Amino acid sequence: MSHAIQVNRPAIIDETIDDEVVVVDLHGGSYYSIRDSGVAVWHSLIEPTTPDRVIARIADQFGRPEEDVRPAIASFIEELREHGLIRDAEAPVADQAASATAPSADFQPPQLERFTDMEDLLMLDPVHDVDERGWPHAAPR
Amino acid sequence: MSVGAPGVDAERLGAAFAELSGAFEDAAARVGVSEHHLRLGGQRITLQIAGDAVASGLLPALAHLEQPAGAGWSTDLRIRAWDTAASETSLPDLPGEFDGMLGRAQHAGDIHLSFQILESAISALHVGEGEALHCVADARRLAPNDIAYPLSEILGWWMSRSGCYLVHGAAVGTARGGVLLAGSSGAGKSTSALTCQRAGMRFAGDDSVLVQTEPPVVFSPYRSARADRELLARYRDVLPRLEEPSGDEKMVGFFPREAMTAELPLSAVVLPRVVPGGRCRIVPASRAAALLAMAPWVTLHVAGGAEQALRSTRAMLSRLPVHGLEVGDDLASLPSILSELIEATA
Repeated sequence: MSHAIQVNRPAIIDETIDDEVVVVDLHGGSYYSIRDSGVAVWHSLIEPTTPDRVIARIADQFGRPEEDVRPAIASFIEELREHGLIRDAEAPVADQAASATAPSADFQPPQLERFTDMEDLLMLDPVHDVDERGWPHAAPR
Repeated sequence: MSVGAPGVDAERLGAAFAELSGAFEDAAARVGVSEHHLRLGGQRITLQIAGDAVASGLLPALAHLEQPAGAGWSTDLRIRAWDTAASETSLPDLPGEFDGMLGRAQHAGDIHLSFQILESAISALHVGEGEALHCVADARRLAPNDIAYPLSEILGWWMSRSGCYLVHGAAVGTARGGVLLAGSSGAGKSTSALTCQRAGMRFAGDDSVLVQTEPPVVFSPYRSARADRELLARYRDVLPRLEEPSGDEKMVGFFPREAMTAELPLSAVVLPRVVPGGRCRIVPASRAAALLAMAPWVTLHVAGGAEQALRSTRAMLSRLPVHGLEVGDDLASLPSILSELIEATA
């Protein structure tokens, strides 16, 4: 797991508030809530990095052996990729300084919740027909 | 949302805007133009409408914003609206393919364009010129959203430039301030807002309001409500005019102009949740839940600055109290509960 990855800008935007990240997919229309250790993972992915480095950083941050956190973090990163929230990084991976802070609270597996109620506004099929006055009509779904 | 499809550039959108401007002139020459002056969030908007049917369709929801015509009126934004049916004109051949322009707004330079394909409507805004265009296929068969929330794309784009964002929510208040009731459909926003409006609280909107993030203020863009027939029927006494758009399972109601409050300083954000069998009460809620409730709309109706819109909304929520509201069966208690909340936080 040495390939570089990062948050899929500019299609993906996010804001952190009260230990939770709200993520909006501007292209797809879904939006997401990221909680627990997922917040730290997400913040690690703002700049290009690798899954191994993210796992090392989370293990360090929560004071846990890497093998303890690896399954949950690797699975979460894969979930982020499946939803298009991260992509392969084009820029070189930057070195990340080791954490100098005290370990965070108990490690809780990352949580990702997806909301899709806005997708229908954005994911219409391309035009298939045009009426006599030039108005396009969406294709049946 | 605010990111355009690849390949849409300013030149293409500029050409489309010019074609649409010409189409409005053709329609205006055929059916005549009426002019209306609106004020929203400090912005002076001149609305030129070609054809009576378009005016009858678009104006009711905006009537509380109308200002008397006067020699001193200067326009920040001019919106020109028409339909192709009554004017017996056609939608112009827009440059390029339709594909990629449907279902999401396009932004390039200071031009914004959106096909609302389900509504058979097209909206365009040229920020630099302060000009906007809105064309519908047939004003006699307006889509429910165009009746209840007309010109929302254009108003959202224009107002977002000054940090005001359209939000899926309602707003009620007192002389001391107001609360934004935010949340997804069915959360209890309309029930709460209509109950409070009936009780005489100040009221700035039921389903779509304009939120200025700094300082936090709610402006009222629409005096309309689009909701389930059963719900609106229960509040007929405060909704003297009801319409049933064809093909829509919902109904559109219009509040009297005098029932509307143009703006409410925001004291808190409240997230309702219907609790059948329960009692109405304030409960804790997270700021993140409030941001989740507001994020989709504030990033949808912006002129290309979705990231700034989300950041501004987060900053506002970091300063405002956020509460949950369990909407139980004792609806009559809601006005006093929210009034006391406003009093406590004002």
